[in-house]
Amino acid sequence: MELLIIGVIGVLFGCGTYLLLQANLLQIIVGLALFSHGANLALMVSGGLKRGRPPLLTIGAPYADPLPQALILTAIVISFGVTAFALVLAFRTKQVCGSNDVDALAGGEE
Amino acid sequence: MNVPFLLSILIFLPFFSAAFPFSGRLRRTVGPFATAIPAVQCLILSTLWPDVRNGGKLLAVWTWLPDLGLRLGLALDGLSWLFACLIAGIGVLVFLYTASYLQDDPHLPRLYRFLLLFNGSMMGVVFADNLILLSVFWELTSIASFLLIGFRAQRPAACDGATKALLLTAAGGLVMLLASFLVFAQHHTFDLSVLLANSASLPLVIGLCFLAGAFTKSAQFPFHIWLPSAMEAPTPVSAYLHAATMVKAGLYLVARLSPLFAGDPLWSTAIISIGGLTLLWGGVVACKQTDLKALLAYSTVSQLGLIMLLLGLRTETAFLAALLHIVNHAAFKGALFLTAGAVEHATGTRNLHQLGGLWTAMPLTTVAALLATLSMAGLPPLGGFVSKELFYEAALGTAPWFAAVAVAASVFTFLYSFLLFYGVFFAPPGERPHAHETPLGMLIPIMTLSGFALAFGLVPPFAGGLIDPAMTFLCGRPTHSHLALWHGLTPALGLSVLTVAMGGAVFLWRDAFIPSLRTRKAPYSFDQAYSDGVSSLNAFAVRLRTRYMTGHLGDYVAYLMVALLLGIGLPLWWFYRHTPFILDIAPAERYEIGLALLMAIGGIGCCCFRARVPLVLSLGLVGALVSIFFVLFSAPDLALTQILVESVGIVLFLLAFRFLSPIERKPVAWGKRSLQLALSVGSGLLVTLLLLAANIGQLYPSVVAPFYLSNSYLLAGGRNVVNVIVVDFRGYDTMGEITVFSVAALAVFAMIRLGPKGNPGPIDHPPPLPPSVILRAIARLTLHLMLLFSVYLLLRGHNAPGGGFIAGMLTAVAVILQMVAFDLRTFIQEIPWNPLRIVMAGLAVSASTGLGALCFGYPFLTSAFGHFHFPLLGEVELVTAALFDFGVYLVVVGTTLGIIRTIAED
Repeated sequence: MELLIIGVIGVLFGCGTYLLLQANLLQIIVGLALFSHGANLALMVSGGLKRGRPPLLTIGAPYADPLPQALILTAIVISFGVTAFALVLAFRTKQVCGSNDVDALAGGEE
Repeated sequence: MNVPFLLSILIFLPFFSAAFPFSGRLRRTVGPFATAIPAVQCLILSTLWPDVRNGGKLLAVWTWLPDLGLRLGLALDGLSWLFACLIAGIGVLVFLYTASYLQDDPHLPRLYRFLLLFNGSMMGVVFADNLILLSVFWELTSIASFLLIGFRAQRPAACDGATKALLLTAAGGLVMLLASFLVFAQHHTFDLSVLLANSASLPLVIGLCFLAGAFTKSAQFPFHIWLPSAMEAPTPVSAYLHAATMVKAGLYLVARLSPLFAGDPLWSTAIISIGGLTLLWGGVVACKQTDLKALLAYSTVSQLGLIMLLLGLRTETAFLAALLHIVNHAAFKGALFLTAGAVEHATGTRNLHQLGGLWTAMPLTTVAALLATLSMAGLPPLGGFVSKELFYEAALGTAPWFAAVAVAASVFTFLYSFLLFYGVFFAPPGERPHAHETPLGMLIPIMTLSGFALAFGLVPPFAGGLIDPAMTFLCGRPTHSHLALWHGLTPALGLSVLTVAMGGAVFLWRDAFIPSLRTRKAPYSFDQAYSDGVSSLNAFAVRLRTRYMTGHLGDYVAYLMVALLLGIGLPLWWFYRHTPFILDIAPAERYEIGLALLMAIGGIGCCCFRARVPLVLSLGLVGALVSIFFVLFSAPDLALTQILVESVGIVLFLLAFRFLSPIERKPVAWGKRSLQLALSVGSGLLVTLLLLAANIGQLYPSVVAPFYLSNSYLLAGGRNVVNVIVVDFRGYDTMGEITVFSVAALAVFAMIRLGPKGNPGPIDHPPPLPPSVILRAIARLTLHLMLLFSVYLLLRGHNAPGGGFIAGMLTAVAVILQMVAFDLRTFIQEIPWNPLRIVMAGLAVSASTGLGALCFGYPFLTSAFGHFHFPLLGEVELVTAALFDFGVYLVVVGTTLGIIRTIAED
């Protein structure tokens, strides 16, 4: 199971990288979002994958590792904030510079 | 008195005084105030004389970084005392002089600040016992010198001179720092006193690195080029830093380290050859100069070379000559520089062609300058004569040809001394005869310095008293030098007579060669080499930068990825290429494989779709599948959070779309496309490999998890361990996290509402959809249900899946659903005030919960809980962490709604 998830994480990171290398800011933002999904899953895997053992003390041991979950919980929310921020950044870029294309925005000499 | 205290006063008093505000009426007092600082230093130093006179050595050590063996040590001995006396003594005179020299300069306080900064740093250099501390102060003097040379920053020459001095001396300082680390690597200490006490001997490599620092600082050939350029500094600065003190730091370093290289003939050879070359070169070039300060600068170069050479000879006579000449040079060169300043002050020029005949207008200055000149030329009965005699004695003790070099150098010294003096005061008047006597404030320092130059000759024991303690350090035993003007008929006296005769002859026939020497232009100079070097380095840097700094974001990402692949991927593959990956593989169910494949397809879909809606739906698919995996792998909290965030995220993307330009399919070069693909595949593989390596066999079971699991209920009263970690165990983290999250809302708000609007360009407004009755009905119906459920999630969070994040997101989703179903106005009706206020309220609640713990004497964010029995409700558990969680809830609601509303409104 871990192998499978690790493989999927690899695919997510590969796709994220591909999108980051593209010119449109929207694609770049989607790429970042894929990265954060991949990173969250990677944290999850690092704690070991257990089926049906949520870390709720009402159900009895053994439990899944709660620490990665706590870390991921905040990471999900933060990455939402980052995505929102990036989207607004792109939107303002369009407004001020007239384009979302990073190649068109490329600065000249100095 | 307490010596450590006095030493720190010596070093830090100027630093603190430099920060004193001299504005308004206080501005007038800056001169006397600043002059008082070195005067206090002089007093302190005089009280310390009994401690050092018999070769005493005092250490003051404070612990600095004990783990690294770093001690903050200050040491007082004869050598540092002598240099400190120079710094403080010349300091008093120069500070006094400056006040009247730059009387009307509006930036006078700034000049004094820099001078004080220099004074303190220089004191630090001579008292530092720790090599690192020494380097710090050493570089500080370079910085002070930079600031002082560039004091008239509106002049390009001043900026160039300042930069040149800084580049050369700071570079030397860095090499010196390297030497210090090499010393530590070998002897495990940075303390000079320890090295000296163990009579450690250091290898030549270290010695050469130290010499690089000393030679650049003391303007030795071929690094001397910065000193003439440094003459752009105001004249008192030149007298203080670039004649009397800072340039002697290199000499101090060589003298200080001398015992450590006692057994190394190459160390001496290096110093003697460079010093000798500098002595001759500086002397010859000085004769060419027509600018007073340039002449003095080259003469300083030459004299520094002389002292360096003497330190390299390492005989007792040579050491004595070196120390005496350090003192002499400070006196006569200081006086001459200050005279040059006075002449410029009086006539407005420093050009020898324009000057002449000033002795009638400035008789007192002339007398003072005459004494200094005689001392520089090495004539009796001045101090310079005594040190030159000693120089000859030391040279005669070495080799005959060496004595010849010494005489030749002294002839040049004689020549330029009188070229200067005669040219200014007695030559036929040039174009600017108008002059006036030097004002008293400037005259007193000049006459004092000349007086010292005379006193060192007439009263040799006076000079002896100053330098004997330092001799003790250099010779390794207490010495009492027997300095005298008259040594009897010695060979050295013969050489002196010869020097005067030759020098006089050359001076009389000067017209035969000086004019042609002055007009001759060197085909290529070291200055030229320096500026060529700097400009070609700049050109190279520009060329290099324009090659790789393309301005295209994609290129930079590609660099990062290549660096990651090479830097992490290769070693990873190398280390693990034979390791079998043992994984705790729960066999994957068929549906799980299906889900994983679907997720991969979603990811690839994100790459392939150009149309924006399918793109975002693909991203949403990935997010939804992630939350399913969270469900499968025992993370209910994560699954809830993820699915809610994903819904809000989709709305966000759809809202933002209207404003973003569509993704065009642009033709991309085949090579670039394949590079992108290769990098993507590579980074995917890299992450896979990294994770495989990190998860090999789960070798390290978590030690943290059992703690949380077993203490969650005991310490925090919660059964949902994830939530307990978030709001209690790692509450600090969460506090920071919600702060960051709310900053995102603020930033979004600021970016949209503030700043230039620019040209929005065409916005493709979709045609308004007909209102969906079903959606509206459902939205109406579910609003209160969802809100109620979110409150439930919030309350039960401590013991069951839920909590502030999830509940907050759910509340936001409920409100956003209304907005989607109805319109923005409905949204604003639901939340009539600015959501940012909710954010602030939430932060305040969380923070004050944490601070509440402080009131009860517990660390920030400690939670308390208790179980209470209420009638009707039964057993109820109250946890302060729930209050904290409520703050989180408010922040999440406020931030999410704030972001969505800000974007939607625009």
